[in-house]
Amino acid sequence: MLENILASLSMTFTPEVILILFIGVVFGCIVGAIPGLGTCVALVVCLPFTLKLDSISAIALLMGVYGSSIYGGSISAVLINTPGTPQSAATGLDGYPMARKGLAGQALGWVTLASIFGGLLSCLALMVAAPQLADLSLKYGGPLEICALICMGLACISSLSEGNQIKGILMGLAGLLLATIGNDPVSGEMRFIFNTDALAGGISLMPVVVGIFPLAEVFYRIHELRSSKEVQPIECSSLIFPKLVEWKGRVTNLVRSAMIGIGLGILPGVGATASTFVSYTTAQKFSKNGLDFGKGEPDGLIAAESSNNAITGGALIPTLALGIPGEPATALMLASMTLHGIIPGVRLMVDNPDVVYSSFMLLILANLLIIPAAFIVIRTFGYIIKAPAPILLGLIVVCSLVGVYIPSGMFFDVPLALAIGVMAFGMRLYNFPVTPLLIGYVLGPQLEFNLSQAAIYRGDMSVFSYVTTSPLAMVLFSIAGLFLFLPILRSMFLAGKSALRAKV
Amino acid sequence: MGQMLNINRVIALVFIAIGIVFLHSAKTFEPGFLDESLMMGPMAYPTWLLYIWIAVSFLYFLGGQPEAKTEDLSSSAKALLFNLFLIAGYFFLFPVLGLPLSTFLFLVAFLFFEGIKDAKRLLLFSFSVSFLFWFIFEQILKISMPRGVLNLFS
Repeated sequence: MLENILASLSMTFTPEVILILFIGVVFGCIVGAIPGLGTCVALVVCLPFTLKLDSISAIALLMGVYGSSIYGGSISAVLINTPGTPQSAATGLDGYPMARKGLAGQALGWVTLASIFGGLLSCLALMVAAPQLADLSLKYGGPLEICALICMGLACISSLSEGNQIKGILMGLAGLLLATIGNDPVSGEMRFIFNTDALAGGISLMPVVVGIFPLAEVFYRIHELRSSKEVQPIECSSLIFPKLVEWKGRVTNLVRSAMIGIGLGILPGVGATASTFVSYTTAQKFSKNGLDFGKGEPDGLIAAESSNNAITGGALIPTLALGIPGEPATALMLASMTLHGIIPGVRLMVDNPDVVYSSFMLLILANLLIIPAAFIVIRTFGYIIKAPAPILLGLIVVCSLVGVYIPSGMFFDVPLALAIGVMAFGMRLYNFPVTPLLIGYVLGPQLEFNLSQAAIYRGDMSVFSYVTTSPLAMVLFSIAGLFLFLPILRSMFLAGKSALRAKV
Repeated sequence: MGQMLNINRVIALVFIAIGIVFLHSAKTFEPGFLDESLMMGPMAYPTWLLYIWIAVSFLYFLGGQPEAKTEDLSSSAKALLFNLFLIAGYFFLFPVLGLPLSTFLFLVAFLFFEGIKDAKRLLLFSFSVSFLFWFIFEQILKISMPRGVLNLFS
């Protein structure tokens, strides 16, 4: 492990990589601060710029964006009471009241330090836990166990679609089916191409991600522009960091909230927004200033921020160690790696240790670079937020087109992305979650490949007796079942309860 | 009949129809070669998926209630349709006109329609972005982008 860390240090600490990482951090903060865009749009818009970069520089850009966009969302939560990303919703509860009292600089100071602490602690957890988890999965992971692991990842779709489980499952299946178009990963036979040569290689990644994130977002924003009101930001030109004495009695809250963020970040499907509110309410319960929460209490800011930024490292643990993304941003990070020839999965740490350990280092650096980036973004926030929305939307459309065209050089992908974008917009209108589609699409080929391997290992045994030969697979399948059915049962229970209440 | 066919049930029927088309393609698939060592044929996995897809779509049809809350598109439908045509036009004309020219024309039309009427600002912004994209990808990253009609002038 130590030699991998040392090797990654020499690859990461080059002026080119640091500069690209810093650009990623500033860009992540800016896009994160613009309400409605969020981490996924920022990552997809960056993708075309990574294609000619070497894999470490490309990951530097993506890690910069990933590590800083949630923090960027908190800037707008504090200054205009509109969180740039959903994960920053709890930050606005205390940040905006503080800003209205004329303490915007102080609020952003608390936000910045708590974010950096949460992010760094989660990087530490990532560095310790991910290699152990990857070792374990390699030691005990045959095709059957890997299938069970992927099923566990897929079952998270159910919890990602709270209240809409059937819609979520349908979208997950749509993603799995989309991945079957084109070459069969085992025999190489072409399937479902309907006499279209352009489909022979399958539907590539870029039209899917560009369609479901930025293009669908552009249509949604055009729709929203017809009804939204203009917001006036609170003036703030600098960060004012809290003094050391002001931290007295708040460190426990800081550490506890970061730990909650890491723990819930590891669990696929829980989501950063949920974990932020868990930290916030826990802090409210334990803080001696609990009654002041919601009125501009720094303890509330610390809880929300250290937790939401700790999610980044936590969510990367299953992603990098097992190839199982639990949320849209990590699914996108994993998918982006494939564009650079890095195959996600349990062998990622063995086959590409340089990439994985460099990712750890880059995430640590991204968190540290938040401070200089924050000075730039906060100073220019007034201009950013006042820029007319159509300018931003036009830029996103141009980036989308370039992003779709460059990787394959095929014009077919361009209208395909538009068609997927229109469908994703329609899905959003009818409350179909799009993240399961991406997770299904990313995990589909691995599932099929490992199922095919498992079928060869099974030989003449029945499926049931084959599964019972591996206790680990049985445990993983059971957990997958729980992940799949618990949210459904919970929804049914809640629906039954409210129906009963309505009768009474 | 109106109650029976709410939007969710219509969507479910569309999903079932898609499933049937794909299932038909899977069932009538003829492999190019037969590899005896493979325990699973190329269409085995997609066929299982399609059965599950059709079954879940059927469940969705059975439980399909009218949407409690849907977005009202009446104020934005015209703008959405116009912008959809504009983006589609940009995407289809991109190989013909080349990246810089198609981007310039798209941005001028898009920004004008979205309310930026200041001609100087509009043209300056559209030109700068088109030039910047061409410069970054063609000159710095050395990625060849379609030049379309611009080839006639070079």
